[in-house]
Amino acid sequence: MAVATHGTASNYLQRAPSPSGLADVIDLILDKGLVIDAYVRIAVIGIELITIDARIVIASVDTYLRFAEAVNRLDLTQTEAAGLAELRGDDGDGKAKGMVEGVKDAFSRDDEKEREPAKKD
Amino acid sequence: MTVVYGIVPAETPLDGAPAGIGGAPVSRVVSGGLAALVSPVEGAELHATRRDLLSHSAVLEHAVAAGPVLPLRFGIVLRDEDAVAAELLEPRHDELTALLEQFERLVELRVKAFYVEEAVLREIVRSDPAIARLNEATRGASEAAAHPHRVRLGEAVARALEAQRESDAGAIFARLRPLAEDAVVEDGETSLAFTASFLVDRGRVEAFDEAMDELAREHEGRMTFKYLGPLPPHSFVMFPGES
Repeated sequence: MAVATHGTASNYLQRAPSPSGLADVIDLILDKGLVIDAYVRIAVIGIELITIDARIVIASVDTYLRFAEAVNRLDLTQTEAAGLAELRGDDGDGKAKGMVEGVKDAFSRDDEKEREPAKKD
Repeated sequence: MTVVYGIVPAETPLDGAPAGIGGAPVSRVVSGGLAALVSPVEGAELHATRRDLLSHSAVLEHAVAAGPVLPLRFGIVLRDEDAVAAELLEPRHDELTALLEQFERLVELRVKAFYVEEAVLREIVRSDPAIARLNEATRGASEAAAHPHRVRLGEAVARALEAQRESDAGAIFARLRPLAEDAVVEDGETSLAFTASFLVDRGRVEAFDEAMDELAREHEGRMTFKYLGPLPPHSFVMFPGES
């Protein structure tokens, strides 16, 4: 079984205890959370600028051409097997690290005892 | 003016709380077993600057590490600390207390999955003979001659990608949903295979981690994941009767 090796498996973004980027924070606090009717929600300035959504309009000729170009560019001689595992020379004893690493710090309320990194080896 | 970040049980310690908006120290307004996390702000405008958005978030992240917290939306400001008690904590006492109880052990875990575009496009070309043929026909062909075929190819790819996205998102959701008390799936951009928040018991976060590990392994090379939490229940908390 392909096991993620620390530092190379790019899709193993470990669970972060807090949003690291502005995009994550905007997702969470600008239009979510409790709102109270008695509140004065004073003018929040700058939101329009930062929430402009660069959403791709999928049904457009430009998008189609972009996809067509991307597909045309693919190197289809590359085999499935030559994926990440091979490229990094994974010899099978990599530890399942990644997102479970560092979990101990994530919160400390009542179960830090059990929160060891889940090493599967 | 006083900005409110969130509501916690009055006994929640505030030790080591990060600075709030504008670098102001965070303090508590306590009433009836509840505490509002607040800090002073000046002026009648709150700028949604990077630093202030991150500060708001940091105050809440710090609180959720110590126990339950009901997050308020960014930018909620009352006249002063007395108003926080008189206009928020007192009139909303029963609802807030019930919500704190409801969310006592629940945190939000947020999952985003992004396609590795090249990998998923390769899958699509391999699995769809019509797309593969169009691809062969348009590769290296002159711009003008191939244009209509390229549009058809792109349209077919876009449609296949959307179908793939639905199928992948459905599978990821089906894998994670049983571990959560509640879930909200969001529409994302096309490069985003999946965006959702899950409301998870603190005792099941580890099981969720394992499921995420499995998903990341299954989709290695074709998807990357962003996995955040435990967060305050931003996506789930609301007063009864509101939506």
